[in-house]
Amino acid sequence: MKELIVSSSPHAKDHRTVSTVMGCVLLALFPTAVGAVIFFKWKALLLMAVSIVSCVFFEYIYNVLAQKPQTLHDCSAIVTGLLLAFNLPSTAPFWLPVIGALFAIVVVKMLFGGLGKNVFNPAIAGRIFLFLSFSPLMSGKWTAPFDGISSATPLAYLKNASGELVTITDKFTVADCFLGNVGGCIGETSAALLLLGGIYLLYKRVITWHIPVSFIGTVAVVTLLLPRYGDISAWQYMQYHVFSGGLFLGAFFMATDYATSPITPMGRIIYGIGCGLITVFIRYFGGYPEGVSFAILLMNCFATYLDGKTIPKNFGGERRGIRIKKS
Amino acid sequence: MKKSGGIFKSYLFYVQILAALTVVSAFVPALNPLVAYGEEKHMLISIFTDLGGIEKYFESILSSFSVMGNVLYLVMLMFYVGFVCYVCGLILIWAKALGGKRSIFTGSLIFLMVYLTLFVVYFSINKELYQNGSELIAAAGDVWLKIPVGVYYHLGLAFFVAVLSVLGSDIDFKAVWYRMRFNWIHRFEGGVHPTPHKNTRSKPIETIPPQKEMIYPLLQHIGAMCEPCVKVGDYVRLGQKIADSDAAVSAPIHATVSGTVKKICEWDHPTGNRIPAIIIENDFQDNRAECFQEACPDYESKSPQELIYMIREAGIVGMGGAAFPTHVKLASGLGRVDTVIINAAECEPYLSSDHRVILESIDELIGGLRIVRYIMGAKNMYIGIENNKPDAIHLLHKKLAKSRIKVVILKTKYPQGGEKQLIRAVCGRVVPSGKLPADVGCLVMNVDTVIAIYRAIVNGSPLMRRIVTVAGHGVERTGNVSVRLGTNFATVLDYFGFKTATRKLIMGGPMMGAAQYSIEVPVIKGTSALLCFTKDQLTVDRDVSCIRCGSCVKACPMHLAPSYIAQYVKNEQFDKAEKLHVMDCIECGCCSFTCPAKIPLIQYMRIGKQTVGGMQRKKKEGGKKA
Repeated sequence: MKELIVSSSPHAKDHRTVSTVMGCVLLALFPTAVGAVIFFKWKALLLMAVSIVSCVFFEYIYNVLAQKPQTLHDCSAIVTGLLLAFNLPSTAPFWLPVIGALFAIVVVKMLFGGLGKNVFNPAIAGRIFLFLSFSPLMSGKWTAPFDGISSATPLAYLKNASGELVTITDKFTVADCFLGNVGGCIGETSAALLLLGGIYLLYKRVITWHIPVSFIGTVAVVTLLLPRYGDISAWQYMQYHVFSGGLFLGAFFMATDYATSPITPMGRIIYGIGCGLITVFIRYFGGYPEGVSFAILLMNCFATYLDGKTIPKNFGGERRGIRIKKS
Repeated sequence: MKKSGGIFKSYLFYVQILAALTVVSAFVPALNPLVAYGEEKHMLISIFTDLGGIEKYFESILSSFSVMGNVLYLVMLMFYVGFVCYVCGLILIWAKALGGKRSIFTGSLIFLMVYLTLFVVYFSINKELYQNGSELIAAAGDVWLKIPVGVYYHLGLAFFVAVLSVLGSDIDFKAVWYRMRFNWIHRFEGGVHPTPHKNTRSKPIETIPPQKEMIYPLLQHIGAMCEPCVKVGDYVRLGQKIADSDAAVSAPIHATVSGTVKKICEWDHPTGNRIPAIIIENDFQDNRAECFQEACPDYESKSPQELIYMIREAGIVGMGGAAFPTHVKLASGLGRVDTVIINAAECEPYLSSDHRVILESIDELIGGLRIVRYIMGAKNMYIGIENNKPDAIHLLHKKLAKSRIKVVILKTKYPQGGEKQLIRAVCGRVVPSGKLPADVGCLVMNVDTVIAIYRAIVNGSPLMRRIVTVAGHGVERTGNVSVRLGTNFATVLDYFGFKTATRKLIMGGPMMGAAQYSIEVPVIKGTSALLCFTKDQLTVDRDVSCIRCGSCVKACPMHLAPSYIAQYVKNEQFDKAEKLHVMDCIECGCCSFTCPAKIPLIQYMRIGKQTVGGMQRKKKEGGKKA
């Protein structure tokens, strides 16, 4: 008989690994990817492919140059690549995601120590890097789905940044915003497809409800109570804000990024509320029409701090549970 | 597929209804998404849109021969109907094959999801609506009216399937309501769901003969080690006390065979140490000792203290696995305990010894319950049992119908059998951090311990046997076996056909059991199972760095933050680990089990507990000196 293996308990483990978790996220992003190809044709496909390949390539090259063990098996580079591509407009040139991937993977993720140790969400940081460096390419031209006619995003109309004196209802209906028949980044237009993916992630227990609900809920409540657009009702105004822009993409897929969000339930709720408030403030008072990515990037800084302040009460600790009366 | 309860409860019946409805409705133009509706000719498939509807499509290519066009149209319809039926049937069969009522809900949910996706896709690829969408919608006023009736119809059908598949399955709604109520009241937060693997629960308890040389380690419980009270060469009888200790927390050890003491030497112990042991050469006579305790069937004539002394003399310890001396637990709870909870949860995977013991020794169990109730003077008595043991629950309900002892059905979840979790789940009390169950008036006791108490008091027999579950791919057949204490693991395993392919031998369950390095180790009082894992059952994972997913926080039944504690322990910041209540850890292994990065969190927790415990003891001693 060969020798027996001795190890610490537990001797049974869950089948879920980092790779399967990332696989679930990719599967949840699949409807949106299909939607992007239907809306923006081969341009979207090209951007996604270039982005994913360059993210994987840069992670590989970094590990080789830094003489570190390969980390490609965790599939997180593919998720980052896909999310980065979703944040690009369909008019972006194909070399743009390569630069974004270089920044996101090498600077934001690997130099901080790799998956789990990064402070900022790589895809978000990559998007903002491109946004600030190549503003005209990233926000100058938006095209409507299918026909490629240039069109502004609903949020730009809400902000009236386009300079035209048209009301938003002339351009888009709420259903347009929900289903995706609006201008915008390739992955953010269809709230319906993102919602399908988000429900899948919740069902598979990859993410918890805390961040998406508190994030979207905060945006909905603030825009409903304090609308800044007189021509339409507050109810409609709220719907436009919730269904347009990158809110669903951010709330379900980017703010819930494990490494850069709190791990305690209470911390996640506060984090989501913070994201929602900053998003609305930027949309209301900021220089840009859209604020989801800046909001998430800012709240990323507070993730570990929130953890420290919201450590759950231990079982049987003070002020929790049912006190019993001694009879 | 098995039909359950007549044609109306068979899901196939509903699939057939659905198919019939779809076939009929496909010929109604208004209900068929393939057929143009209204003036705008909205198509499900956009290639037909440009050509203005399926009829026109076929007309345009086959205008010369319209009969052919009609045949093709019918073929298209049949294809569509077949597709819908295929999807319905597939989902329902899949749900049924998985078993369980939850999967039927899951199947219905996915069915709805498929329809929702079709709904979204319909709008996404309908070019006409997109290109002129805004104007069309502005003209029509309300977009929802633009959806073809067919889409509403099919959404309705999906709900129809969802409702009927639930109604058609053999769900006992009373039981569902009962369980829902209990899931909310009788539960604790956290925990994990390992695969149960309880295949041995239908196998009756077997008995195996003792071996030639029996080994009795002097430490079989938590507490002080015993001193031998026999010498080498002495003749000992069955049930004779061979080792005892004066310490308060300890339990004596008895011979389980008759024979001569061969030697007293160090021997391998299941905990991995070498501990002094008495080795007795068996003469296979089973001569009973005269010093067997006096049997006492009318226990109510004795005082609780006397009964507790009898329990001590019988060497009874907690049979759940931790082996805490029972008399200490009873004595410390006297006068303080008003609720006794019998732990029949058996939440560890593979284990079925408690389940079998309930089924086979129910009368002794109930007798034991009455004795414990008499000793403790308890007002409430509960048996906490997981809902994956329906036959045992049924039997307990039947036997305890007129009794005040209540059976509480618990959700199958690990660690349901943990002391504090069980108390929370059964009677809603929370044991404060660092306190004992007796501080909230509770006493938790394993089923097998209760039976041992019954045998000690009514039959006067000391603790000599132990029910062990043998399972895993490393044995030819699995089962439950009654083993005399002191028998080698090798003897037990050979009885079940031990394979040399075994790579890991575990004493206890897979979640908290101890891996063994040798099979020449005796069965002791806390051996609840022997699991032989072969290569295919081993989990060898490479651990990656923490991805901060929070699974461990969600799973921890003590509501700790294992990932942070592990990091502090790694960095030797033990003061911070102490602040995060590392001492509350019950070492259940939920965090290690659930971690997707496969970090051995539980090992860091153990290191933290040992170091912080040492620091706290030192501080206490320092305080006393000053």
